[in-house]
Amino acid sequence: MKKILVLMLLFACGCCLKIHGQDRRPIYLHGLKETHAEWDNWSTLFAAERRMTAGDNQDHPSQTGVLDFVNHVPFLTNNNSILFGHSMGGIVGRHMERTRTNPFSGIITAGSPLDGARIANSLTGGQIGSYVTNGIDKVLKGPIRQLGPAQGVLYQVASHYFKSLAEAYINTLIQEKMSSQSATDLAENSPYMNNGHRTATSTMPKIHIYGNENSPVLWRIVSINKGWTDGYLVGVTQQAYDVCVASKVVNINAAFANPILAPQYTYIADGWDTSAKWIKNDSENGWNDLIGASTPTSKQVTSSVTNWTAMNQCLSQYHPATTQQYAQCQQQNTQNVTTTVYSTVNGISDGFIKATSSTGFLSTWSENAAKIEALGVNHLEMKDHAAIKQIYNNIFDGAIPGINSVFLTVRR
Amino acid sequence: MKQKNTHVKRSRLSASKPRRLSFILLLAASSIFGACQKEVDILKPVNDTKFSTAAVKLKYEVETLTVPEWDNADNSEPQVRIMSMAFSTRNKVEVNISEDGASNWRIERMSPKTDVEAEHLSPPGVEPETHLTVIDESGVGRFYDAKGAMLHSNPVPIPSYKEMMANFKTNPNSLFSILGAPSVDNLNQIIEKAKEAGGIQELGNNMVSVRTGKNSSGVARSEGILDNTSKVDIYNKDLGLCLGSTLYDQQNQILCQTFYSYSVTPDQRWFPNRIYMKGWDNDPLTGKMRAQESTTYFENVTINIKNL
Repeated sequence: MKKILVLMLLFACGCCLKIHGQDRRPIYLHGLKETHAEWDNWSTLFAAERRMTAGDNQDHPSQTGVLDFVNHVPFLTNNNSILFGHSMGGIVGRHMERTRTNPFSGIITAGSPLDGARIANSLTGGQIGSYVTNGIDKVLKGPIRQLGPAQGVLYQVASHYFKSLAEAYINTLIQEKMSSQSATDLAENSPYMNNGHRTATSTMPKIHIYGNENSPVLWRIVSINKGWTDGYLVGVTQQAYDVCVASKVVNINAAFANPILAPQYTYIADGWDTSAKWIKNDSENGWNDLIGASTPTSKQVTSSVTNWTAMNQCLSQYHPATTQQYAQCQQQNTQNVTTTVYSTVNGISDGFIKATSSTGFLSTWSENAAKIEALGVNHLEMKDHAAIKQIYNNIFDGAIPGINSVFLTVRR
Repeated sequence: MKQKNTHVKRSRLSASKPRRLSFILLLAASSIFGACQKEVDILKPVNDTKFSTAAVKLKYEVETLTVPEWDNADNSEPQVRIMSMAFSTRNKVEVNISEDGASNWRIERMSPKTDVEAEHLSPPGVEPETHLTVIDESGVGRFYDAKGAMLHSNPVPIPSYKEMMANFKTNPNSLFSILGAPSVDNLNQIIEKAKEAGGIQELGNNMVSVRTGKNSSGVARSEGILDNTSKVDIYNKDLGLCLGSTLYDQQNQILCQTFYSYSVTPDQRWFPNRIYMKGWDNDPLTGKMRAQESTTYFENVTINIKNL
């Protein structure tokens, strides 16, 4: 009897291992203009730690539209398989789930623009080009006013650096990737996005991982794109901002101390202020608008406003004028005025795709999905960030409440 | 001789391990202590030997509020509106100017009284932010975080006060010129110079308009705004105050208008408490001229001038 019980126990364990570890055959789908290398890190790890030998991790044509991508993914009917899709790969996975029979048992998307990618709309609308041109103009405002276009050599070099960086970013990350049929498909409200898959109901177990990158998201994602650490350009821009603010203060002091040149120094200070403002706020706010992650709002601003004409008329009636009369005229013609100014709130994003789209806020298909935040992770870091590794481990171990048991996978 | 020294060095290197370890520990401790000491020191007010007896010491808090104007016709362009958002900064400034016109600076960043920042949903950055800037007389700026750790060092273009300080020595009345008002005596000189150039216009009621062209400032030449502009100032002759100015570029196009509001120290010295500026610039996003208003407030002003 004991022997039978032991045999039954061994059989049960064997079944368990087969289900959770030995036959998952995951499908890995990369993003737009990426390769299978995007998933190499995780597929190697999952194979080693979870016995998840890849069913498919290949290069697929990603620029000729979502449908073409789908058609190149082999049919791998497997009721135990998990599909992993990064960015566009998740959209391809959604398409497969809608059009194939039993393609997999669950799908995990990471940074996929389930409601569309606003950045694609911004590229075709020309806003990205204007954004870069405007940024260069603003960054140079202080140096050129201070030193002139010829003598501001150091700043010209610095601006060239910014310019080449911005252009490189646009070329490598935006234009090369997004100037394609796939980008047209992935744009918000594109014919592909409105083809019915997004708004269809689905019972397929699914998990949407969304990046919640620290601000400034722009400089972090550019840093990663250039192969630096994500804080590298944050430090560079912080230095530029600091120099702009210090230069502004120095010129304000010159205006304060030297009335003969006060207008010139005030004008120069205003140039540095414009440069500082773009580096600190406008670049980030503008970028969030381009990726669709900003929401308009307003702020109340109170400032002292003087009717200068009336004040000078008031003063001219006294001859000789005294300090008391000056103060009186000033007081009579100055008041605090509160005005409403435009402002925006930067939402959660991975620096490229806003969180609402990565979680399918407008997609009926995503209604049953578990949404998992990857704090401090941007779109390009999802292939190797420690926080993502932890998330996958938590998913496989069942350490996240509400995760469908289909994703549970025993550790080797 | 060289060989002997080398030998000595070698013999020291062959000292016992515990003694070497103690020495290394002592060095490390000294370095850490030294570094900590430096961090604490840097947060103290600027007070090196040369500037401890500076001819002019200025302390104040300065806040700037900038509000770019935008055209309602551009309503449909979110990027235009975003670039038109308000911006404010506030700093506590300490400037020491020595007799030879050199200056050193301590700029402490503060939270603006006029808060124009929206609360974002995206998490803030994790990197330490600059809290204090110290600029030495050579124009080298050192930037520190709130704990006193130096984050970076970069050049900051500082103006020379050489000519201004030279004037102090020859004309004690010109001391007033660092206080925002040129003084009646200086104003008369400005008017006389402008008369020679035909740039004066009496406005009546003790007001006068003075036009000054390029290179009238006497400051070091460059290709920036200082050399390539002309301006018209409106003065109150009784008080010796400049009430407002208009700045023009080389093509006589208006760059900005500036108005000044003043306070008086207990010893009857004028200083600006507010500078309002409205400037115009070409906007690359719309191709139109765009106005930007900025108001600079000076508060808690302390001015110390040494008798030369």
